[in-house]
Amino acid sequence: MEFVTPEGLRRDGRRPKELRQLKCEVGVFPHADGSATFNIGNTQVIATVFGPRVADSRGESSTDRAIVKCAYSESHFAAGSRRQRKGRGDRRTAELASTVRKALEETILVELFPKAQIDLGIQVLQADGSVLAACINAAMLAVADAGIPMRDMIAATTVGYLESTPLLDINHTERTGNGPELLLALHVNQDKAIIITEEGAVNPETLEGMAELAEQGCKAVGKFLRQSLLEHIQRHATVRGLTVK
Amino acid sequence: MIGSDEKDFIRGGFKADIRSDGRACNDSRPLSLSLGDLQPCSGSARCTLGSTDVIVGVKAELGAPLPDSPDCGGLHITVECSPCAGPTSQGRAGEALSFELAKCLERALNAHPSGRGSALDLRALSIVSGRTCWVLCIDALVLACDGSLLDALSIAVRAALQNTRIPLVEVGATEDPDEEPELELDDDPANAKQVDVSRVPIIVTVCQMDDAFVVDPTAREEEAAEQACHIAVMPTGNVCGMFRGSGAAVTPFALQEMMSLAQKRGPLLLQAVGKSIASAAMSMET
Amino acid sequence: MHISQNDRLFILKALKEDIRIDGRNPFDSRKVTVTLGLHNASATVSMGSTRVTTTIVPVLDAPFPDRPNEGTLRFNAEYSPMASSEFEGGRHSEAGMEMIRLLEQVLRNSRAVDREALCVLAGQKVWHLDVNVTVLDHAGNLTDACLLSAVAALMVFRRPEVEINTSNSGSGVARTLVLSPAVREPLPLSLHQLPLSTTFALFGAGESIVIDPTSREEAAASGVVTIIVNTNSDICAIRKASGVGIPLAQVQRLMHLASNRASEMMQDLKEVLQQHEASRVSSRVRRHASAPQQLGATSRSVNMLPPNDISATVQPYQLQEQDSGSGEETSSGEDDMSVGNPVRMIASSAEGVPISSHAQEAQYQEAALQHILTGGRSQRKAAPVDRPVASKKTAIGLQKEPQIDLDFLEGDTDPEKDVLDMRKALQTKNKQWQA
Repeated sequence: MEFVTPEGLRRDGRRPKELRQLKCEVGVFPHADGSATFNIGNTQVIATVFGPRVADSRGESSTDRAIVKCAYSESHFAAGSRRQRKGRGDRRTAELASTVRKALEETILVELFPKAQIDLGIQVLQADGSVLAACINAAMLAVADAGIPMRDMIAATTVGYLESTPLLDINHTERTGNGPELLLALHVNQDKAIIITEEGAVNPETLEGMAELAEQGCKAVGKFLRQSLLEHIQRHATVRGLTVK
Repeated sequence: MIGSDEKDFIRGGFKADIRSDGRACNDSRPLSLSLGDLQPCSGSARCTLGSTDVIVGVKAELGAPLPDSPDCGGLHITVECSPCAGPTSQGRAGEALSFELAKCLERALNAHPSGRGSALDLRALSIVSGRTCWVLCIDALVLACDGSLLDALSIAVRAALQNTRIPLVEVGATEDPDEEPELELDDDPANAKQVDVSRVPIIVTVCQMDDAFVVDPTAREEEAAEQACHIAVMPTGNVCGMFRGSGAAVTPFALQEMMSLAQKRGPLLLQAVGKSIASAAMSMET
Repeated sequence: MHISQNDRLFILKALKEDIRIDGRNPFDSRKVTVTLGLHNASATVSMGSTRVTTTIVPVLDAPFPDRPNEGTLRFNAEYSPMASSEFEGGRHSEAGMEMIRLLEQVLRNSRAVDREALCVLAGQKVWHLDVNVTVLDHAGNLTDACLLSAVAALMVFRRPEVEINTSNSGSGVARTLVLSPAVREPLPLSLHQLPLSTTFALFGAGESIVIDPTSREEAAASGVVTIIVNTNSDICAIRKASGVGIPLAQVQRLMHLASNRASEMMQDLKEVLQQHEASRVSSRVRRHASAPQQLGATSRSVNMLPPNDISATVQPYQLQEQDSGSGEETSSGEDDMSVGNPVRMIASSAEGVPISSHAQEAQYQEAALQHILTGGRSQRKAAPVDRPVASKKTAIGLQKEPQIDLDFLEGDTDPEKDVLDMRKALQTKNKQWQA
């Protein structure tokens, strides 16, 4: 099947460097310390944060920093075909949970909360490509909503490469093309890559092009996230009669 | 976990017909429904009852009927507690809770394996007798737990089923009766079948503390109350199922009270649900 | 691994002056040694003190229903507690799972191994390869060592030939017959890509980077990056899943370094494989009665063959047409003048003499093949107990090898019998020298 038409349009009508529609909502669950939903195209992810709170097990806790735990779950109806097996506990979900955890661990200023524990909960409602990137973005929003200080804003995006074109933010159909796939999670202000995962054989020049596109994509997502957080704070401030510059 | 002081406070409130959030003992929390959010599902609904938040997706898949009921379709219900509900909902406790919820829902919806008395007309789901039928897979996800989980779940299941559209199937003619007939699925959404939910019950949770009976308790109230009952009520007002939560024994008189309370509340709640669905449908069309 | 603050500060301070605690430069790797094992099914890699072994066990079985024409690769990574105190044993450690994911991604999902070539009878019988990676010693950089040993094992692995008999059974069910190496030379795997990994450790805020960290350096590091490159200089995978952030420009530089190191490692690996192949061929040739003595049975089979003979043999890692058309007895059963076995070295110093009877040799080889196919779990029934010790100038070691190997590998050694064997062997040797 063709992924990029001769005019340069992708199957869903986007241009190669175009992100899907971004939507997010901060503070959706009152019972959690911080929560957020993040939608990119059809991919919908909910993230919640509980903490910092006293660590559950003293053996795991650390005397100079907080530990970050992440529980990840994909609902049965997330993918196109209903999944029979559990959405947690297998190797793939364990790896995804671990990646989100490490990304946020590097972003949160964990040294400020010794002996504490921060619990991240990620629920994937719909999966349509770039799921891990969406999870990281949602988690960042939830952590910001919880008021936990962070080193920088982290934004993630994926880039694929099909028919000699780097494609930003690939969806599920484009993933079936089995081209190389690059996931980049970037600290947007400091310009540092926290998570880089590339899968599929690709020559170095092409990879350079993909990495550049991914950087631009991350910055765009970062801008959107920042805007959403500011709007959220503005709303809260208005409700409480405060002024925010 | 709440302390004994808080329990006393809640108990005092019940006596005076005032609850912590200002409701009377007979009032439910505000209900909001949103339908059809999930693309991959045949039908979906998200129900928010105060702070309790659940989402239900229904998928209609082709499958084979059970050997002792060749003319009936299938129904599978699973409940999962999302990590978003909190770290306490994970692990074995969370799994036990999900299993219990799923069992209750199943019993409320399904009566007899033959299909009689069931809330859903399973015979309408059959395609080729003994060979192919529609199987409705109902997957519920608890996003936030603040009491009255079964209430919210049953409402969401009902709404999701109402939202479900099953494609029309044309069975190709075959000369050989043993041969697998060809099935043609009609993609046109206008031709899709709807599921008849007129007999789908709603579960009303009633708690008792001393002499006071409260409807739609929050998590704290559930914990403070000594007894709780979950009563499945049909739209006609008939009771079609009852499940006891954990707690002390209930006297027959208390049981009667709870049931009559549920029977009164049930239809009112259903009306509210119907209004929500209608307004949601209208907002989707506009 | 935990290290003290002092250790960490020391390592960081030394790195600021471009010195590492084991004396290397930041971009020097440790010496890599690859030892190819018995029966063409295992490879052991040492990177400094880190040691990892991979063994491949082929199993002939029904394919997965959704892929009837393909064999499968199953990976297993065991982080054994003897390797490091931080490993708890059992097969489900988090680090072990990550390694399995990496191997699956790079060797299986990337179609590096041609799985259709593993098909014997479509829909009925395919080869399932169990690739078992065992970490023997953890001294840092397990990623590189595990991947290298897995790739080396895949390159040296030979799968038995299978003959399909559709004739007799009337029901149409074909019967497969696994041929012993004596009858038909086993085939190598068809590998499209050979990925090799390079791991870098990042220190501090990412300003110091080293290649191939030791375990202390890993403990002091604030981040780790792994870059996997294949022989065409394509990047197969990049894994930076934790740790401090680095600018993207830095990543380009690392990719370049990884590429260089991968080609060096591949060069070394190919040399070792060539030596291994040469010794295999030589042992095969020496077996044959009429084989010209010009091969000369001097000690190390590595130097034995004149260069053109090596070229006449095949590149071990490509698909080859190895038929037994040369008329020589193939003998990969007890073959493998593998570069590590002292028994063989000594034995081959004797004048190479053919074994008394082909039948016995075939028996030994059958036993060895059974052993491979059942993964060492079968009873040791095939190998005959009586050994023809008497014939003059019998290459003792060569005869003894299958027996001892099977014993060792299966674990039901009888020490007394071994001692008796040894004694007999020494006696005959003495007689031989006196004669």
